[in-house]
Amino acid sequence: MDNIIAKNQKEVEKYRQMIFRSKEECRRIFAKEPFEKKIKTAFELYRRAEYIKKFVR
Amino acid sequence: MEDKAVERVFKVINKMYQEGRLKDYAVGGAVATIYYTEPFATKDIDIFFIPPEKDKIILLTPFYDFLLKKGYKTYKEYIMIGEIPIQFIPTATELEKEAVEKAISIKYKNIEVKILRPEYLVAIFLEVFRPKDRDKLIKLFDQAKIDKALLRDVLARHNLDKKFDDFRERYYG
Repeated sequence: MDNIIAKNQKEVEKYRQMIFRSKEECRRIFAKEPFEKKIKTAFELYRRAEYIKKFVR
Repeated sequence: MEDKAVERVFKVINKMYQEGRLKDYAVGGAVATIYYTEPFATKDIDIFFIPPEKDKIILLTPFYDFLLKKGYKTYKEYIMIGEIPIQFIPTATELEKEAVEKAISIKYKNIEVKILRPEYLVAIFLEVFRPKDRDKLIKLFDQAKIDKALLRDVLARHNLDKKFDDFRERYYG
């Protein structure tokens, strides 16, 4: 049983690392976008965060 | 948020600079960081400026008066240009003054905008060092092209090299 868990954990960790690498790649792509677009996204993110906060108890 | 809202802010700032109402200025904080990194949430635009002096007295009011006469409203510590809160921050340290003087000019839809260099953003964030400044430091180190020689020089001259080494040890050690 222990062996099976260990095997799965390895697979899960491999999958997690793949996700992290992919996220880093996305960050690099976003960083290269035009300044105009990045500012617009930044204010939009703030607006959405404020909206979501309304539902936090 | 309309693109035009940000465009309007930069047009107003640029006009004030051209007319000499803002002696020297540069965009700092999150918006300047975003120029070099991925976008992240921000609610305002920080404008660092070197305040004019008269008989060694620092004058903060002339351009506030100008903006208020133009009909812009204040909200808490902000001046609202359209729907965007603007925080005008008078340079208070030699580091901030130098950062503004060494700022680079960029274009936002053909409007010239002065923006702090990443090396000075790092130094200012290190000096202030709130949790949100640490986040911005990490983004800058991970994503911006930083002139390491310039950064070392700035940090050494403003006594921030120890703080920088501690930061590096903690987050990248």
